[in-house]
Amino acid sequence: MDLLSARSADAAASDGQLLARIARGDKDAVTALYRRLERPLFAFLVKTLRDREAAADVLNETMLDVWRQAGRFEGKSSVATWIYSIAHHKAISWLRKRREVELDEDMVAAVPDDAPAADTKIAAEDLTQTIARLMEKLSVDHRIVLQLAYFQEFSVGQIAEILDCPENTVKTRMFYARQRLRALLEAEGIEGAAA
Amino acid sequence: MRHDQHQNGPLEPQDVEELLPWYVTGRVSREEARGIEAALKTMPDLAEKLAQVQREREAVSRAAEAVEAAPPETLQRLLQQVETTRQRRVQRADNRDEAGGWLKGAMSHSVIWQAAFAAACVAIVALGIRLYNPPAPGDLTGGINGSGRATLLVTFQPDATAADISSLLAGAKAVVTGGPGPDGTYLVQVPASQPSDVEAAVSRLQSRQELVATVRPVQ
Repeated sequence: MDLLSARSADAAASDGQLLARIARGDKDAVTALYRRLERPLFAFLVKTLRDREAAADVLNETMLDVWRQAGRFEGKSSVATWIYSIAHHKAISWLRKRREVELDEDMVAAVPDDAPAADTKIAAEDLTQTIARLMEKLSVDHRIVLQLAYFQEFSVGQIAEILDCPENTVKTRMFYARQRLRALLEAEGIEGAAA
Repeated sequence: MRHDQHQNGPLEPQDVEELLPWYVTGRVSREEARGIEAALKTMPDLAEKLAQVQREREAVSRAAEAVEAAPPETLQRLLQQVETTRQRRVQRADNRDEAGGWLKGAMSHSVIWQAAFAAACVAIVALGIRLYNPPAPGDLTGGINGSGRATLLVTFQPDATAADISSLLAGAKAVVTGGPGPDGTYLVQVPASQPSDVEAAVSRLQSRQELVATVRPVQ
């Protein structure tokens, strides 16, 4: 099989097929799965850790764990859910190590905001940008649930598996994340922009 | 999703609102989607709430899409580590085969062979002790080349991050020139014009035990 055919075969393979090949020691399958997951997984880690270098390290460690543990994957969840749960676990460990997990929304809110006044800001950025900016002020748990639901498009059940918590906890976190976001928007003089 | 609660009746208004973030991404069940669509017809403010959820989703997606790709060296590093662990696996498997075959052969022969086997074990232990002979503190002379650099053999802690290692090496003006070997050892060059410089570099790296597992000069 030439290189192009091999690449197109990799692209057509399912996550499960790639993982089975990884379990047999196929390095090309590692590359294929990495390329498939790199963008969304790296974005998730950057948004969770707020540190590109750390996100690259955690991405690397996650994929190395995938390589090491591929043979132990039991197929009880989807491959993506399994990999995100590894990444989430490592990201939280990193945050704990750096003692940043306590840097919750209250502490962030206590940091003086040297941004321009509300009316100036709204003129300079649209509502979507404002929401994105304010999301950075949310706690890590809230940022994670928003990322996993809105960008990674995981279901409630999948997010519960990734975070290793009950489904109702996922819904509660989402509820409070959105409530907090609404409060931040209101503090900027924007009402009714988030439920 | 609380399928068990939803399947036999209409969704409660609170359930509908809770599900909206997953409705906009199409990650609710068909039953739940039908319930939300029915509620949209009867709850006047729900359409606005749905629009708000869609704005949030757009904001999160746009911000995530704006994140630049991971640095290319992340994949290179991964593949290097994968190769290292693959080689270790092969080596372990080979060692098991060799040890297994050797033990089997040794144990199946006569008393003479059993005595020889015991002697071989003693010899191996002695050889191991001889091989594991770290240089004495005052013996760090080797490896200074003509360009004023010395080479060290360094293994890093498994949980040391690339960022921390880079920072450590930059602080010591050290550069990685080779590795990782099958045992995870890297060749690291440090500036050195005399043996005391090598000793200082070793001490400096040894003092960062959270990052460096072992360090010794190439003699």
